[in-house]
Amino acid sequence: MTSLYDWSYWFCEAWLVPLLTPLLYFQEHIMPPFSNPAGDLARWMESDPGLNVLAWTIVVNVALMIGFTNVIIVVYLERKIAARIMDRRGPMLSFHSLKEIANDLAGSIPEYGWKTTTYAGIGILQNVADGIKFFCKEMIVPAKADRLLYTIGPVIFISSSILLLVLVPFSPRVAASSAPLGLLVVMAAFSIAPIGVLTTGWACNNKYTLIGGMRSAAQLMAYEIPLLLSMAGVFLVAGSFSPMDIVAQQQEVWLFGIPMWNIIPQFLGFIVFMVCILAEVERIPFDLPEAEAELVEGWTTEIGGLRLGLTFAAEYIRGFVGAMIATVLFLGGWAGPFLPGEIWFLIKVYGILVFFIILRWTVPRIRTDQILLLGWKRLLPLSLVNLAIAILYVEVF
Amino acid sequence: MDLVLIVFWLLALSILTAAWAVVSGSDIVHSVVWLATVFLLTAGIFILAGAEFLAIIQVLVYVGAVSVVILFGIMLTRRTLPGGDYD
Repeated sequence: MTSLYDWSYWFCEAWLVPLLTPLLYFQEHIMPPFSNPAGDLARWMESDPGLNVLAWTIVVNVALMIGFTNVIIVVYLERKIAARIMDRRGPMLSFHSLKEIANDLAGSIPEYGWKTTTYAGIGILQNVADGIKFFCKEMIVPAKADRLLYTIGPVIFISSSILLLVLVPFSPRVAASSAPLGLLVVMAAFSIAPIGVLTTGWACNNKYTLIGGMRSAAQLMAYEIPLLLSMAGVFLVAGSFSPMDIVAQQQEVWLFGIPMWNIIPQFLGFIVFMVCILAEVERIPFDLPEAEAELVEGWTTEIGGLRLGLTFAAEYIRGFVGAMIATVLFLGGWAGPFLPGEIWFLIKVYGILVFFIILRWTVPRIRTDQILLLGWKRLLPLSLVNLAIAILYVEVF
Repeated sequence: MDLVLIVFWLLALSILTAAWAVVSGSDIVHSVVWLATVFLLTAGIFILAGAEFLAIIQVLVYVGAVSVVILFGIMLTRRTLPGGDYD
């Protein structure tokens, strides 16, 4: 059981297929003159390609479940930390408050005495309430919208974001994909989403969505080149695009008892990367396409129904994957003493995410011309300097 | 018939259809989205030929840059509103 794939292959071979195939074989000759295709399905499942497909299905589903669970936790953290920054408590809805809600609905008068109501919950049920709200929303297509692009725009954004979840490994054991070009695939999947944003913004036939989409494209031009250049420094040092090789390389060089993770020799690259990944995942201070104070809700103004909920979830997925890439590239990935690798990886990822969230609720948004100036005049030269430092580092060590 | 060959022909026919849609459509934004489809499917052909790196660079460079083409398409052309009048 060295990896998730091996485990799920064993699970299919030892449990799933032996339990399923008798059912299918029983159905095969249930009506004697005819034979049922269920038998062919069972024979395919017992063959090696069939087991392979089943195992990969389980691996991808496990990766998606881990990712979506983390997205729920990130949404919860965002609300609680935002509330603490604003000196309030945030969502408190939990199993403890269900009794009070039930009393309320039954019409009995709740006792609001001094310290009689107990708010012992931490508010984790608020996510469930949000999910129910998104399920109940009506799906509206604006009358003069371009129906085709209005429909496929959010689909492009959501699907390319969900694809990201299976591409980044948690550790060599918990990994759905270990492509040798791993992080390049991640960046390619990241770069598809602005098409969805821009086409949705245009297709809604609304000036606010159009401005949001335009800002997304302007932002893309500002951050894309410094982002890839700052990653190029790490790729150069590791000599590979694979997350496994990059993390292994960061454990090779030790100085005074501390491992030389890429954040130490390439601190400039880390700064540039963090700024650019913030712009990539469209969080404040770079959430220009969805500036809810200026444009009503940005490019998502006209989206309704569960599609809106999935769009928000996709934005959090992008934030989570951005933090994962930062951890793999600069913070040593899953390397760390005592604890298992997955725990170390999650600790580092959540550290970066808490930093993102605190940044979101404490700094103002920047203007479109400022982000272009920042991208082309500051980040691009800095990332080139970082690339030179990386080349020097490779030459010295 | 070989599975790779079937996938190749499916991809090739889709590329040709999408390329025809690029030049025959009346709406410029629709054309650009079809162009992005052509680029994505071409990346599929590259993967089929065993050139994964080229496929990823194709998605990263061309599909990513298509949004700039959409930007120019929206900014530099007159737009007919679905109601029929110009804005």
